[in-house]
Amino acid sequence: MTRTLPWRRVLGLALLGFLIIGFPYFNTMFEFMSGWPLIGWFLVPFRVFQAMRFGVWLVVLMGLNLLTGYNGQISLGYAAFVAIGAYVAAILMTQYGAHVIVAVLAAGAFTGVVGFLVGVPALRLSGPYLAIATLALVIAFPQVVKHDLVSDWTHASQGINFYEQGTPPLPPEILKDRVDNNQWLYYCAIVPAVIMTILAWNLTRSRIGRAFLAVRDTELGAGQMGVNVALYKMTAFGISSFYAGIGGALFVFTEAVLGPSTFDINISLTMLVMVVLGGLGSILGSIFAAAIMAWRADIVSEIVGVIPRGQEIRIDALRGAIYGGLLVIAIITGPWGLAGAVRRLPRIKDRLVAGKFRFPGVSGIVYPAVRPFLLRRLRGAKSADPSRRDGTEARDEPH
Amino acid sequence: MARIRIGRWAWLLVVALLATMLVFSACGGGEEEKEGTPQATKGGGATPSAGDTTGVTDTQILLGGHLPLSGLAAAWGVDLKAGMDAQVAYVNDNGGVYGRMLKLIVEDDQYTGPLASEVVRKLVEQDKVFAIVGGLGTVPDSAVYKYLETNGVPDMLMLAGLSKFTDPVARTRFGYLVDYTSEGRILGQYIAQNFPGKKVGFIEQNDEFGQEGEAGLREGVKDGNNEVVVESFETTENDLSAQVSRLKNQNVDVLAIYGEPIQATSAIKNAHETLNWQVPVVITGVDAVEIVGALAGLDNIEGTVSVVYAHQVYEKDVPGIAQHLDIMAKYGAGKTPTNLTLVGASIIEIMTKIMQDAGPDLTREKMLDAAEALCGWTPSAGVAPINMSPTDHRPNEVESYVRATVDRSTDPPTFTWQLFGDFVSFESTPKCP
Repeated sequence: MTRTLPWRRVLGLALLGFLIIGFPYFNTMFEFMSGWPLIGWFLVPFRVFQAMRFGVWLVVLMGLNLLTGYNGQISLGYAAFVAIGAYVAAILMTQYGAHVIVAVLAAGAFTGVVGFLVGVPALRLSGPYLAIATLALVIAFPQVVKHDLVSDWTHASQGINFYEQGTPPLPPEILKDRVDNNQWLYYCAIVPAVIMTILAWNLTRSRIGRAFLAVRDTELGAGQMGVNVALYKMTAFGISSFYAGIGGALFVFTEAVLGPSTFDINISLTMLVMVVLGGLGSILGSIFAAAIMAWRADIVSEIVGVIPRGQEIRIDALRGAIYGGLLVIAIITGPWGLAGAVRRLPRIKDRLVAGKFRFPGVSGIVYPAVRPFLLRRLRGAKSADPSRRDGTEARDEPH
Repeated sequence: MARIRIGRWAWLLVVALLATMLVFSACGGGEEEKEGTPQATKGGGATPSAGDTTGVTDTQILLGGHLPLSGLAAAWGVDLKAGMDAQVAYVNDNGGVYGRMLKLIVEDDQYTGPLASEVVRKLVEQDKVFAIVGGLGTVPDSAVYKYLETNGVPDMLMLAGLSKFTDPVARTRFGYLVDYTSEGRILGQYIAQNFPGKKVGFIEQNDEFGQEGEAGLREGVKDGNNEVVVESFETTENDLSAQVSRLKNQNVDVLAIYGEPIQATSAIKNAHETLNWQVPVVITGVDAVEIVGALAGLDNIEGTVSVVYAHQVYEKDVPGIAQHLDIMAKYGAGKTPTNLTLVGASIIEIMTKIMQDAGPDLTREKMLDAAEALCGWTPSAGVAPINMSPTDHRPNEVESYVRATVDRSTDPPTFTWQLFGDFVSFESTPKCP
């Protein structure tokens, strides 16, 4: 039975539910707010498409986080599994007329099995060696797909196009008047995303999840404790591939176009970077990762827009450099990603007051300069230094 | 928070949700023939409604483009954008189109499908552009062309030569590059005439671009009795030494390459310099640009044969070229004019002409009508008139052979693609109505 949740939690969950379910209609419901500075940005119809992408990436990156963040197996070739799921679903839907839910589940199951089997040779490798081996998977995949043996199904380099073979992902007749294309696809993506997130949440807090973490942190120790290391490593591969398969199937269903180069080495590496940025080993981290993945162009655009005299110095040509710079800053200031930073927030105030704060990187320069003002504000004390009550500061004395 | 215990009510809710989705999707399953779904027929596809003025205001026309501005294919995108921007500035300085200023938004798709899909959606749904112009690349264009067709957004002057984009003809889609099959055929004919009976080694990009080139080339060499052996490479590879070595070991007499500048030049450099194998090279027209000279090395690229459909930037006495050099000097923000900037500028020039022909009450329909009626008009840098019709959406159907030439009398040496020989025409609309 469900536990009784405190009213704050219920309200929070209800609000979250409203946000998720109602998002596609916000731009019409709250149209009067569309001029407001921050909120207005969300109320553009295009955000619905991006939110749909967010849902798809959430499933995909959740799987990668389960493998790399929770189980510690670095996979540079995760995109290959996503591609397998995408192709299986696409072939089932276009050539065998399968219903989309059937195709998605079948793709997930198939990819999960493949991943589990890949986990077998992966047992012998760890760290950088595993990374290289998985990289080989994603490099080989486009050529395998184009090979004559399977090209009858995959259509080789032509790829699969739902507009030409099969049905494009349009809303069903009954709902035609209530939802438009983007809104329908949003729901098709977000419902599985929510379900898979809840499943992952439960998984990570279960015995299997604890086994994953144990294997990640100390393989030897976990073995000593009676954890079947081999089995759990393979299971991690299998479960993450299941997520990859579902994610890939959702991707192809909403995108309606698939080719051998859709999931290549570039996107595979990008996925790993996103998961690290978002936060390895946490559900919130996967959510952040998916958000950054879906909105990274907008983030860079906002920053480019904010830089003064941007047009004059042709800032447009430096978008790549800005993106790279952001990655570097993000990694320096928060090695545990955005989710790690969020987790630290409650402790920040306490540590600020105690004067014990230590940030690595960029904040190490900015923070000491800003600290006295922050402390004065927070404590209302005459001096920034809590041990001195007469308004003097240590740095003013000769030393 | 500990694990979420899903109580029976929650499960019921989930099952109900899934069931509803199933029911709805099942009911919607038989809607393949509804009008929004494009059929692959001649002149088919969604047409914009008669008064569709998306992207057009009293003062502005908004155009969109997707180019590779970063990544392996950036060599193309950056120059193209520079040429397009300069031409837009020139048109605006001269009164725009019936008083409407042109505004061009070009987004970076890094020559990949998913990114192209995202940026095109942004251009169509957020920026609400009037038309997409000069979309570059086999893979990016393949990802977006059906989306644009279904939504009635004109896909004008596509910088990709896949036959499937212009055959079957779609109302809202117009090509620009010569299609790769015809181009391959012309190159094959050159080989058949100049190297009869010899063995041809064909290095192709492992996608439709390379495959169409191969099909065309095989057609072209039929009369010359040439044997063709094929090596392929992926778009993510940038070192073709293995393929070149294998072809050398098979004693091919002529090398034909269908790839992007970085890969093609790697093959040429490898053959001529590393292996010291002075094999004659024939290359796709998309690589007949100046940057290959720097990439391959002037000594290595010299003598390579290709094809072009327009005058080259070195032909300063052609009025259209002189005008382009002028425009780049004035509006080009310091960028050196190249054949790529010329292509970008030409696209905007042709688009401007089409919009001018459409008249002051600009709608998408009128613009498409004007495009289909464009016949007998030669762009300033063109070698032959553009003839289009409702069944012919290919503007460039006449090509000339060019040879990579190095003029060592200057310092530094000048590198140009010099035209030679007769023009070859495969114009499908020989006469204008």
